[in-house]
Amino acid sequence: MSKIDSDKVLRQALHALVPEQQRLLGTRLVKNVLPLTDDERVQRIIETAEKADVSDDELAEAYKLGRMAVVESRTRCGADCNWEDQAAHFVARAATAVVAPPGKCKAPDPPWQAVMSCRMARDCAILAADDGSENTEAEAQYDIAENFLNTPNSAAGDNHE
Amino acid sequence: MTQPSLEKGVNILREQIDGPVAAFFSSCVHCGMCAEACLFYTETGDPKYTPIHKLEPMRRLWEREFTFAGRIKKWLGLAPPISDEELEQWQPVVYDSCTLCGRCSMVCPVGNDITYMIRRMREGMAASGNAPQGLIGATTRAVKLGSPMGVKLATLEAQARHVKISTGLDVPFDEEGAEYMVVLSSMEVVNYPEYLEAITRIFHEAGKRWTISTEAFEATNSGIQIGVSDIAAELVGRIVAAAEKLQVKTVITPECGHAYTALRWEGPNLIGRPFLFKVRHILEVLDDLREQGLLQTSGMENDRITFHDPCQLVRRGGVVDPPRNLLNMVSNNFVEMEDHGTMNWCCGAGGGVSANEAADEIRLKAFKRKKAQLESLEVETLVTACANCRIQLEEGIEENEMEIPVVGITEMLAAHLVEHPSSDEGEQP
Repeated sequence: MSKIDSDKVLRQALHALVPEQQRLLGTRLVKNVLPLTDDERVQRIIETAEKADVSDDELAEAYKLGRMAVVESRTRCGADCNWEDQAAHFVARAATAVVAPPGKCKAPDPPWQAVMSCRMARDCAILAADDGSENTEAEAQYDIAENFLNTPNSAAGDNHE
Repeated sequence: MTQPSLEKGVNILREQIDGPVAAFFSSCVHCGMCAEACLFYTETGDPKYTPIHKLEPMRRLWEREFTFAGRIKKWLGLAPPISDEELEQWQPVVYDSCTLCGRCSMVCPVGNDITYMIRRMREGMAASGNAPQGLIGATTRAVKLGSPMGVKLATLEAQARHVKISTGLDVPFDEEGAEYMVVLSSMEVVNYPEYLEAITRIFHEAGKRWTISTEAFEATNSGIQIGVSDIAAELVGRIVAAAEKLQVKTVITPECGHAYTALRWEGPNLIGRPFLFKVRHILEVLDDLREQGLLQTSGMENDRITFHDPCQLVRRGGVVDPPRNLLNMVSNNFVEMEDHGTMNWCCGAGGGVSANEAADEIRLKAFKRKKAQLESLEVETLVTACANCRIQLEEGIEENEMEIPVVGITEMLAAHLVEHPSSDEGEQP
């Protein structure tokens, strides 16, 4: 049984997975914040990302779509930030990192960028709601990852590197 | 911002005509070299974008009121006064199609600092009510909320919590006597949260004491962009007050071009006295750390990489070598664009252009120059050191269906940082 209770363990667990499993776990993390966007492109990216038999071409196409969604959803310099829109931006960013072909995403650690972007999305949603609630996305991510790693059909142990 | 009027605008425009401005107007030889240096002209071919022409209402005012021939023309009724319609007509060329990049000033054969003049022209434009709505909004938010994008301290604190969870390191707030006080651009807080984590890790490894003021964490200065010196001075004054209260030695400006110019070069003049601390751009500080052996990296980027120089850093600030020294630490395939350093081509979005929706079309046309530069080099990664340049480069690249990732240099260095986990840190990546 894998116990995920810190970022250190989560990061190690992510890095121990083969790329396909990283993508599948990343997809689950993004799905947890998916209600924060109504961008159909992001929904399509996630549908592609969770396909077991997805091809490289499909992933490249999803990545291209994601880049477009990221650029278009971002707050321009000097504009009054709409936190709901910015939450959607971070969801797009997370989804794009999940489907990034090797070497295309220049973030030092694309799977981790997906993790952090989901948390930023939640932050933005909280700012938009302005209800003083706490961001518990990290804890939710630990649970999702733990569940993923401990479910034989999702992250079968033999898929670990 | 006070209630604008034509009278106020013309009065302020008149006040802006100081010795240098008068000398520049009288020495212009109409050679047109500034046109060829301006990407808004080169990418459109439209003569209205000739930099010196952007100053025509101000030139007319100078001629009409400060030259002998102009006074005679005025007396004969041949030199009409500046009207609101005229200033309104000039708004797109003064704001939408000038990034205050300074390239025109570099090539002027008689040494006219045209950028300085545009900056002054904007003072009159803003006072007459002819500044773009986008910039008015950004400036109003900067004054009222402390950020042109409406970023509040809570947003930054939330980001600091993520850094803590992810790295185990604290982002220090309000620490008196720290060596460095870091200021950020709202763009970094909103769009590029990686920057805060990168500097946190780098300063930790370098053993430097640093802090962020909860009273003044915003570096950008909309007052400079719109052309309202009183507001520019107020925004600078907030940072100065915070830095002096915390008694820091150095204020570090972020990966943002105009924030550096505003604080380091215009700041003391705006508040009317020298600072009690130094101002340095993050690249200058990182390069110092490199020289002192306090910035150690491992591994090299193999991609073909180039660097886009933010105009305010190289032309107004002279920060040319630091990014190259730093990139050479982590790249063995770094290539220069044909025009780079002090003669780089602007991204097309600085000087408030990106805050102005009316400028979107011309801004993306202007990007064609950068597109051509990138295509001729066939690079795989583009590095820069300004969040505003970065957003324009990413948008231009996407718009033109190119596939070149854009990376901030501080982030890239942090990705190669050699880290030594101490016993009380369990979360270092």
